[in-house]
Amino acid sequence: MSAARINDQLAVLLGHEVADWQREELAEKLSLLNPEIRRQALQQLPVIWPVSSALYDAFVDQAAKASSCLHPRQFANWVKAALDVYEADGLRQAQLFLEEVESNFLCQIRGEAGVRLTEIESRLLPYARSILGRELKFASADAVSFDTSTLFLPAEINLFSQQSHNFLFYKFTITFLLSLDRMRTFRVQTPAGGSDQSLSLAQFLAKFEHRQLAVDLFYLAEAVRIVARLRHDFPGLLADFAEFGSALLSQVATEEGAGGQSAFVAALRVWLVQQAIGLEVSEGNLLPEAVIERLAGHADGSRQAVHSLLLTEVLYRQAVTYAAPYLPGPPLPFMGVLTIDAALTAIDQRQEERQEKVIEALRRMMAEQDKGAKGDGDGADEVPEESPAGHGRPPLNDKQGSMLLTAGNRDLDAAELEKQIAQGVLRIGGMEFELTEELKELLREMMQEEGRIPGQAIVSAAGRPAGGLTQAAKSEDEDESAQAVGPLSYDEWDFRRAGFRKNWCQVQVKEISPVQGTFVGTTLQKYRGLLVNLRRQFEMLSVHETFVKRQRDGDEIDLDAVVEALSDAKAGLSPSDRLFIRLQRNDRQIAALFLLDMSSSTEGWVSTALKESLILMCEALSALGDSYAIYGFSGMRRLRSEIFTVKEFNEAYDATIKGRIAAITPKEYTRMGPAIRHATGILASTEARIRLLITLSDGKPEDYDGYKGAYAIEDTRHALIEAKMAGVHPFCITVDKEAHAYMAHMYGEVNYIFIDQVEKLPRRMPEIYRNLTS
Amino acid sequence: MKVDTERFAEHRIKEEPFYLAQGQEMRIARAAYENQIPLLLKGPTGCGKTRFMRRLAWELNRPLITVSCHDDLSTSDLVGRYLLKGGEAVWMDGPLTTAVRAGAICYLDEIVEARKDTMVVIHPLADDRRELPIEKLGELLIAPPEFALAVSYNPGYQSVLKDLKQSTRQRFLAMEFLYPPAELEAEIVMVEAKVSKKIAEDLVRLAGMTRELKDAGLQEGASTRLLIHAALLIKGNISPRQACQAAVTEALTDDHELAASIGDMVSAIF
Repeated sequence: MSAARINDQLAVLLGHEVADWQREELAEKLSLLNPEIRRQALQQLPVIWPVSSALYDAFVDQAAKASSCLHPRQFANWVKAALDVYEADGLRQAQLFLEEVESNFLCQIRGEAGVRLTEIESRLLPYARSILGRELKFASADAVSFDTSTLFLPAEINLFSQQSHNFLFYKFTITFLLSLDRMRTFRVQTPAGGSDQSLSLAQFLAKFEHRQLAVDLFYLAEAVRIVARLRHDFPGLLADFAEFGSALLSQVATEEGAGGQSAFVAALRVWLVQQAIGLEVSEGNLLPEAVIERLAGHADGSRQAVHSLLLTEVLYRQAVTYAAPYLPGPPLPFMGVLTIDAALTAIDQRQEERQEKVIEALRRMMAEQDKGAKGDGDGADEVPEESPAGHGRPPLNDKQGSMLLTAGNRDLDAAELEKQIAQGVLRIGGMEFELTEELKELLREMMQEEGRIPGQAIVSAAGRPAGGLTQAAKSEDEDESAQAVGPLSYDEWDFRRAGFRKNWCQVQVKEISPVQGTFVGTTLQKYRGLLVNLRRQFEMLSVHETFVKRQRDGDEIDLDAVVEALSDAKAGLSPSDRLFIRLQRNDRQIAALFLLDMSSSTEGWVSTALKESLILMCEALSALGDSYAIYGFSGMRRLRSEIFTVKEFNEAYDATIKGRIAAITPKEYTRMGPAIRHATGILASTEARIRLLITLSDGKPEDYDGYKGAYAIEDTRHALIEAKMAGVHPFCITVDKEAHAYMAHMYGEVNYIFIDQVEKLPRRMPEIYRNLTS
Repeated sequence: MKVDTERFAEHRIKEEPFYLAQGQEMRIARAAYENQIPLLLKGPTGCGKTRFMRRLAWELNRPLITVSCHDDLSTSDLVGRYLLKGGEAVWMDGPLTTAVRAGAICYLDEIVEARKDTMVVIHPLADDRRELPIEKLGELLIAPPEFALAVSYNPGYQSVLKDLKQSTRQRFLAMEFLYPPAELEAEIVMVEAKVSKKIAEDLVRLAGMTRELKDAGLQEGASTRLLIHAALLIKGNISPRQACQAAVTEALTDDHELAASIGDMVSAIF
């Protein structure tokens, strides 16, 4: 169609009030569209034009692009939404809305109400964690499953026509799968009775001739139990599910045609979905009456996993009465497949890790408390390098050892242990140990997940006097001869001998040469919205305490003080002469030193996030006026601990500093002690009333030589204690997921914060600083 | 100086405040009272510290004078000041002085919020001297045996400016309050809001889930107080989801993403 013909058409549609040039221009644009789109566009003309001709222009501009992801038939919806935006937020927003058709309108319009895992992850991950009570991951996979550490979910769900339903289905799937862990599906064991030995789940399932059939039946039996429990725990979830779950029925029902054993399993699936929706047993269900009765009895939230094993046997017997063999159909989308092996591996791994931690913590605790009991006299003289057996806990004497072993042969009684944990002590073999917070947490977790504490853990702890450390001490001895001397050498705390190693670490202060680059600009651009807010918030903070009342002189009269003084005078007392309010700036008197972990483990995202956080902090702090400095630390071995100066207290935040921040790169190891001591020294020499030492880290202190494990943690802890004594408040921001295990011990419970996602660090850091100092 | 008996009567607790003991806290508090040792209650917000004090005051049959501390609370606010009334200067006792004179229990809520100079009057009162100097009257009050001092604070706030000094904290007998165990908490919600056991248990389960998020974005999980608020709304025929939205979700966070997550927990349970 030529532009001229379109122009004629437009003339009819628009009447003659519209200027010729405007009509011609529009006709020109429309002529470039393909016929179908043009037809739709012209149809929308009477809808949009009377509202805003400019909006129609924008619509025509975007029509071609929209057609790539939108069926022209759906233009009407698109236009309607755009008009809503126009009415609410004006022309500009409506134009933007039209431009962003691909990102914000596409799915809803195309009738694809699909929801992607990436969209819901940030929202449902905290939800999942709150149910499971520990960290977990989401991963996209074709087959839905849960190995007790990672939830494998489809990358997208578009089973239902409504987007909200697809979202709720994700949520339902997640909650259902998490129940496998909460309800101990993978840890089920057959009851030991008479000559029968207790069998694990895998062993139990291996008994059946058709293992796959048995597995599917068992999973269905578990699903019945889980759904019943969900109905009790999460009634809202099931009420939501009932709204859309019936769509699943039609899907399963079509598989029933297969006949025989497969049809039986399919019928069970139908029953399960009906159960989940809350339907009464429907007519025409293929299941025999007796089976339905058993299932109904099983649908009880208080049933144990072992009941599902019994039910599996019943169902299996019923299934094999059908002639046609079992051909596994597609699983129910929310159930996916039961990955027993993967789950057991994950459970074992977690158990091992935790056990290792418990052993380590127990050992450390026993060592500490033993030392305390021995008295200070011989403890101080002890030289660990010369007598390896003297590290930490001395070998147990025979009597203690045998007592520990008897305790170790059986698992500790759950109820008894729970009582002990609540009291904060642990009694083993007649000895009583006070539990540390860390241990309490670990043991509680262990109890929760495994229902018992393997006695073995405790024996290992007792029988292993500082095993890991003996090794550590040796490697450290290699460079013993080279006593560190120099202008900047620091002592290091050796907890085994409860004393300092004099002048043990040599610290070299290095410059970072600034680089020119786009990093700072990009960061400022990326967070420009946040920055405006930050500056405002920090400016407010800086004027927060600037009115000082009851001053001898000032800009305004303090009415409260005057009234009080008058009253005092009347009462015959000498009135105060502090009657003024003074505006005082920079009363905060805070000096903050940011100490940045530049170890190699921060490579990649962590490093970028740390640098971005620093930029934001600097921007915010320059609005506030607190004096601050930034140092990085890294190094290798005790003779080469390195401190990198990024910004000193008296330097202004300028292009050089920005360049230095951009130049920060991960280096070597994390020897925290000397860095903290160095920073403490710098802070102590400032005149501020409040001195903050904020460490940004991604993990435990560790160096190439023996500086690791308990030794490193204890040295860092001691360095922090020294800092506190020097009037410095240490605080740590960490992204290490394992942080709780040792952070509270090092910094004290409220003196650290853990950021679960490193991407959040730049946003959170200024907020943390604000909280810290107000 | 005469005690203003009318003002003092207001502070009597007439009805028995509901309080479910979690452990030995009541016994310890009574022992502290008998031995004239001041109390320091610590714990997250809304876990029952203030309620515990009311209950204690009721059991001991003493008036309770509660002062919510704020960052402008000065010594005069606690001790008292001269006011001008009809051209005459009249002395008005502050709450702390009133409490000392009346042999009441004085409870300073969120003590760390108060200005540092208030410690000047709290310290001599909190150790075995038990004296309150009133500078302007030239008077030194000695607290009667019935008088008791209690303070509370929340160690969870991570501000270096708001930490109790050792010299202060070591004058007190300290007790930590945590959220009650699930069963107990459900019972508290049930009794307080007069809702069914089912609703109470569901709310407690929700609270448990939010408390799991303590390090994942939330500063603190939902407190027992929030649960009671939610339960009261439900009791008032507001749908549970809306009740929790208002009483729990929005009260806990401004972060939309996190609020959505909490909303998901709510809609899973209700």
